[in-house]
Amino acid sequence: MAHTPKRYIPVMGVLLGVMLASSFGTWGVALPQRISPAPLVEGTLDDQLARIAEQIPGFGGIFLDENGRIVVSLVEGEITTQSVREIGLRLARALAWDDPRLRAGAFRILPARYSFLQLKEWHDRLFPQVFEVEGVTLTDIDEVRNRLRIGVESEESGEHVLGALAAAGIPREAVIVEKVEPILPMETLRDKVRPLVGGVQINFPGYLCTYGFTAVRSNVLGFVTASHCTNVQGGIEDTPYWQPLEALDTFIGTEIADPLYTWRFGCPRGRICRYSDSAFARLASGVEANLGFLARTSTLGSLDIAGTFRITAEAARRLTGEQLNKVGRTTGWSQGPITQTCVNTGVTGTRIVLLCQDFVRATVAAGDSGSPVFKITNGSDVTLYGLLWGGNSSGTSFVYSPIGNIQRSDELGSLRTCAVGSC
Amino acid sequence: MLALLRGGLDGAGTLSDPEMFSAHIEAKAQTRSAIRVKLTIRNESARSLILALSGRPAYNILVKRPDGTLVWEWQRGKIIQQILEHRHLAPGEEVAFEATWRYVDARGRRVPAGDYVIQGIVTLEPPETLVTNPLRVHVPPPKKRDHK
Repeated sequence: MAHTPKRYIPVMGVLLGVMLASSFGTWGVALPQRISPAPLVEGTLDDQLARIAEQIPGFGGIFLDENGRIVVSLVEGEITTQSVREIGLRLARALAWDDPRLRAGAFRILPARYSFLQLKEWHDRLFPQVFEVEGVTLTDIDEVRNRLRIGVESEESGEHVLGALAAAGIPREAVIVEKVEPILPMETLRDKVRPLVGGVQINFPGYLCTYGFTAVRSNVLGFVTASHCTNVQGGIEDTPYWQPLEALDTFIGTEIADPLYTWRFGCPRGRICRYSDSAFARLASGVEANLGFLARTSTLGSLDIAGTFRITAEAARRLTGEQLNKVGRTTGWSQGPITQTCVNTGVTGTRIVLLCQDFVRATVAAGDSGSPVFKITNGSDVTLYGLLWGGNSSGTSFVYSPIGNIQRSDELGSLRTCAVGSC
Repeated sequence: MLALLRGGLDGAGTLSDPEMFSAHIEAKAQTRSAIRVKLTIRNESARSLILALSGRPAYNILVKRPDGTLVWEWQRGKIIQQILEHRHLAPGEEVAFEATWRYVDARGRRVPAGDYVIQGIVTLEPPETLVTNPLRVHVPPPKKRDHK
């Protein structure tokens, strides 16, 4: 059941619902009164459809077409004793699906070449051995196409599958072997993500922060995160970083730049200042990182990675009211307007004042430090605005260091941050 | 001694159950112009635990009237570094924070003499928090020159 076109999902949902209900012993509750309950039997959905095929000779499958009509496929010549109405009633009972169209026999009948029983028998002969072929990603009884379906990653894998079919005595024409993308588990911002992209969780001894963005600094490939996401804020201590957490195979880099906080012109007396809360780490050898790409989650507030944002420019100016975004390991993707620009901001519990920082009204929480801040310009293309480092205690407003500040000569200096060929 | 507010977040990974910790607040010193309080979190279990401290600083102090009206909040208006710390605490080990309340309200005005309740909050992995016992304090009348 791995491949299911969207238009057929509803009936699959019904069928799966039936399966789940049966597993939890609620079959009798879910069953409409007019349909007498089918026996409670454990098994997969394919097992259930095979049992239907035992009751309805020639039954090839059931699904909803693109217009929502019920379609039942039947092998021609095998239906001799049952009327369409009887078939509908049997299906309604077996599936505990009290649809009046089924009871009235008001469904489309599609000629099938193979019965579901035959397809199931072949599938069981192939599975699970066929998964021993390198590159096989899925096997399925495809009710819509009335064939077995085997997904492979490459043509070479497909050739091996064909060999396995022949050895098992399964007719070639009964099987669709097609190239499909490997099915990957959904990653979150807190999972191991390679190549590295902005917005994912990083770990240094005792702390969690967010990977800001990949950058090239003085011909060194690395990444930018917050200065306070180093062993000591200001100064270089060779802070080691892992993504997402410390493990044997998750080391990603070492801090190599984090200018000291000092008194300078414009810094209040008795305080120390910088123009950005940023540090640069050199990428460890052999670690893949995507220059110019940030994690894009499925929705605002989600942690599930669903794609990427592409950095195509760096902000040359910032205006109050501009709608900005950030992606961070704790609160994911959040969005809101700039509320204040160029604010000299004292950092609670320290003597530090960060000069000329911007405030954005958007969700933030601990662990989001280092998040990339950006503006969506066109689809997935974004302009990089800076690096998040702080927020208010209620988590409704965050503070970031503008990218122009980060690249001052007394900060990290010039960086290359855009995706290759984009700016 | 311990009041615990728990959010709905399950599966905090390797983090330890907040119920394994206690949170306590006490007056360290009190004068006519201010009170200094100490907030202590302690590993009450018999094994080493990981405490998530959310933000730097990861604590807040609330001052309320006896009827519950909020008078002053230590973190109000402050910008917190959004870093998440995982601190290992051995059995019985403590971590402490201190803060001073200068008997002012949210607008910086001296509060009237009388009884107040001080409570500490430690922010853990969002949305979890540890809340201390309420500390009842008496604010004395100001010296005459404090009135100016």
